[in-house]
Parts: sequence; C-alpha cells; structure tokens
Amino acid sequence: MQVTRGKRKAGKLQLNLIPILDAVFIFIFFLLSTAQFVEIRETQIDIPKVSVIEVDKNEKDPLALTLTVAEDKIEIVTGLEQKIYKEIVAKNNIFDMGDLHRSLVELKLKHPEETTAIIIPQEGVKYKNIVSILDHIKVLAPKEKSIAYVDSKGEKKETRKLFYNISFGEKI
Amino acid sequence: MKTKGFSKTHRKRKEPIDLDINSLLDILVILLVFLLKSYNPSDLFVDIPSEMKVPISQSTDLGRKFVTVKVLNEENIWIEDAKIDSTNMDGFLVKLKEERAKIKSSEDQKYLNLVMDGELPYNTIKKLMDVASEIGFEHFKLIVKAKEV
Repeated sequence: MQVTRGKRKAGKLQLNLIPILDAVFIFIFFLLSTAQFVEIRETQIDIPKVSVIEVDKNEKDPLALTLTVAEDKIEIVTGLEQKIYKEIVAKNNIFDMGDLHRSLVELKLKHPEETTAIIIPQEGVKYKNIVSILDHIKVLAPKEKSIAYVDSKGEKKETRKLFYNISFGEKI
Repeated sequence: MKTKGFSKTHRKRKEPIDLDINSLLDILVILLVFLLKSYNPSDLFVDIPSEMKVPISQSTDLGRKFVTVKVLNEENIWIEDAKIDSTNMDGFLVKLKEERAKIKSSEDQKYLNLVMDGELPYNTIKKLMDVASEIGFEHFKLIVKAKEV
C-alpha cells in the first residue's frame, strides 16, 4: 500500500491541455464572428395578388378574414358579405391586443384550415402597431395550447399557427 | 569553467514551468457559454442606425440575406447601407434595380428586407412597397428586434 501511494505522489499526473485550448480559441473566434448582439428576426408580408378563383358553391361560408386598422380601432371583418365580427377600440391610444388575439383564436377554431388574412391599415397607422397586430395574428402565444382539428381528408392535425399568410390590402 | 557554466544553464532550462491556467479556463468557459447563447446561424447582418427604433416582435423567424432597404423617415432612406437621395425617385429605382440584379437566384430576387422605424406611418410604407413591387419584389420581410425572454 505504501509503495503504491509513493508512486502516485512521485508521478504527478499532468493533462496536456494545449490542444483543447487551441480548439477552444478557434471556437471562440468562430462564435465571435457569428455573434449578433441585437437579435434580429423577420416577419413576412406579401403584396396582394389579383387572381380569378372559381367559388366552390359547396363550400359553406368561407372565412375571408380582413382586418381594417385605423388609429383608434381595429375591425375584424369576415365572410363574403364582409360582416364585422368584432370591433376593438383603442383606449388612450392603446389597443387590447389580448382581445384581438382571443377573437382570432375563436375564428381559427371555427376555420382551422384557413391560413390567410388581409390587413387594411389606414394611412396614419404607425408601423410598430402593424407589427404588434401581426404578432397576434400569426401564431399562438407560447403558453397557449395547440389547436387540434380534423382536416378535410379526415386526418387529425395540430397547429400552433393562426393566420400566417398575410398581405396588405386596400379598401375599394 | 565554461563547461560547468553551460551545464548549469542547461539544467535550468529543463525545469518545467508550472502555469496555473485554471482562471484562464474559467474565463474561456464563461465566454463560450455567452457566445453560444448569442450565436446566430442567419446570414443577415444589418447595421441599424442609432436613431432608428425598430419595433420589437415575438416572431422567431430568422432573417435571410436579400436586398435590404432601411427607412428612418421619408428623408432618410438607405439601400444596402448607401444613403439615397429621397427626392430623386429615379435614382432610388435605379439603385434598387442594381442591387436586385446582384442577387443570383431568381426566387430570392422576389424578396425585400425592410428595416423601418416604428413611428413610420403606413402611407410611407405603402409608397415604398408599391415602388418595390413595380420592380418585381413580391414578398416583404419586415425586420424586427426579437423580444427578450
């Protein structure tokens, strides 16, 4: 026992850390070159395309979701007859985005396969308000449960997306 | 005498120097964790002017490199970091066309990155999008700041 202990003390184990340090340094330089200290994201908008679509007479009540955005109110308009589904009025220039989101989730539950929406902002509406509205139209919040539905082919599906194909439109 | 002196020096060189690199390793590990957290695989790098307040969004989609237009207001517009004389609409169109032509993929030529100030009114955005769509841009990527978690 004593001999072994003596041997251990004499032969001090030394790890060769030089290759690891080299690798770590290279890794740091790579990460430094790719680091973004302001995290940038994107959200897509399309320009409206005019096309002729044959209306399926068997399809019951298409959603045709349109959001008319003014500086003081947001109107959620649905259907071919463009009925106002909900009107959200700004209080002290602040919209209740939770209310808007809840209404859109309700509509998604009724039309789970629908993915498109048209936004019609008025001229003076600020860009930051449009971005905020887009956030609430496109996806469910992280805390919300996914929407489960049965698609037209009879398959069970789940989605966390609401109306993610968005284009700007104009009032005719 | 000379030989003795030489052998002494030689013996000194052979002694291993023990460097304590524990603290250096600690720093490197902390730096690695910090850099890994801010790692971004996106090829889009945008220099946002200091006076521009880009809106914050919940979007998690990473941006991609397309033609980028930055708009602070109607007087201050940049195309790919080059400031444009906003009174000269023809110059704006020419520059936008030039930058679009540099993109090799015809599919990527349909996308335009827009970095805009949050206070910008919709009529300015609309004007810009109308002009861009005339050239052939169909999809607009609104560049926003990620919401801090």
